[in-house]
Amino acid sequence: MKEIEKSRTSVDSCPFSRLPDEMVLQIFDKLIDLKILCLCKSVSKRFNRIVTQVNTISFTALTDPEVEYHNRESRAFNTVASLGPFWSAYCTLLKFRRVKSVHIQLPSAVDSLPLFKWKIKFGNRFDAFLFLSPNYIYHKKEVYVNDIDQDIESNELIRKKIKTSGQCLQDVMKRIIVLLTDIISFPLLERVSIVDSDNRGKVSFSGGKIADIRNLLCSPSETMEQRLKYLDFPSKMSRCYVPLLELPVSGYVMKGILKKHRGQIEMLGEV
Amino acid sequence: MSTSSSSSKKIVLKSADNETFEIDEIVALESQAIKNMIEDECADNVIPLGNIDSKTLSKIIEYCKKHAESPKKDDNADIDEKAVEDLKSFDAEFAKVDMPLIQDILMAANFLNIDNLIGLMCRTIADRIKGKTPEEIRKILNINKNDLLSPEQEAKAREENSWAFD
Repeated sequence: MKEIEKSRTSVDSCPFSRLPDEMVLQIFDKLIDLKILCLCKSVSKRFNRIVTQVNTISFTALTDPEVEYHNRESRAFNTVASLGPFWSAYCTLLKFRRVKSVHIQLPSAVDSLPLFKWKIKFGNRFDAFLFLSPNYIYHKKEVYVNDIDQDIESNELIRKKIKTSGQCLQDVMKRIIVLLTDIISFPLLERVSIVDSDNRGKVSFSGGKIADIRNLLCSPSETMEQRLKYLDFPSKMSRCYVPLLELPVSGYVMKGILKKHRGQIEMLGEV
Repeated sequence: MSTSSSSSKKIVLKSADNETFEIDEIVALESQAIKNMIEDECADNVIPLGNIDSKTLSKIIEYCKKHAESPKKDDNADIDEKAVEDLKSFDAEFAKVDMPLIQDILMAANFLNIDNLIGLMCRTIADRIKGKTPEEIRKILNINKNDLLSPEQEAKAREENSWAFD
């Protein structure tokens, strides 16, 4: 008994070293934030070894708005460099080869963008995009009916909305493409989601869809060009003006909406 | 020994420092490991736990008692919100102990296979290292000096993850 006591106190100086690796991994799996996980890599040899095996990672995709703006007309693959801090974050993500679920948050808007909501449907490739940018949003229809303040939309505002919609689609698609073109680096990836920090939109895809993408992109018969083409997304969109729109699920009423879309969109309720 | 025993049946646990704890079987069943022992009928009246000290064991029993009393999530869908809240605040209070004890509880919970408790302890440790610098994390977990990265390795790790150090 005495011996047991003694051996216990001698290892007690570092109880952490007594925790089995799978327990340590369970702790790391609760951290989720890529920045925190990266800091953990410098803590100790053991941290460095285990931390890269986590299942779930989330990070905020910061971008440099200036660079984004100047490159918004060019195609996605020429603008990888323009992803700026996202690219650095992505390079660190590549070290986490066992990740199953990746969650990317688009940063909050700092400047005065117009009101907007977006939704992207992504099956095993780009399916559809919906962008709604109203002048006003009302919680109840009655409020709208009673509101006599009819505004005239300025050309400048319309231009700003169109620009925002293009930027929004590019922002999201570029991230998806960067992630997927290197899908071979994430053999266990099962789920990807990208959400807007200001809750303006989201896209997520998982399971079999990811397996399809992996099969296609990792097939040796495909040239790099074909693979990139597969992931390409359209820049031309249908655009129209909708004076009034009621969102079926939330009950919100939008007024003076610029609507841009591409593909089958039956997802108003989800916006 | 019957597997479908009534709740009044008692189980005795013995800690590494030879302290005994008599508890209701239903409390002991929170531990999957003990449950398996009882179901396989290989548990004696007294179950010796040679790697768990009495301080840790009494904390674990406190946890199992509370969780055994609370309605289980899968029992029915309409368990009242109050019970859930009550259990949440119990867990939060339970986790307010020092780091060595948390790690001892985690080790023991792993040995006894108590899923909820493993989760709670892992979350607690994770919450305490979130937002801390590597140096602070080493202090919090009392990381062995022998396990530190060499200065070159550390410089490399920092360089690779420079954006995280901003």
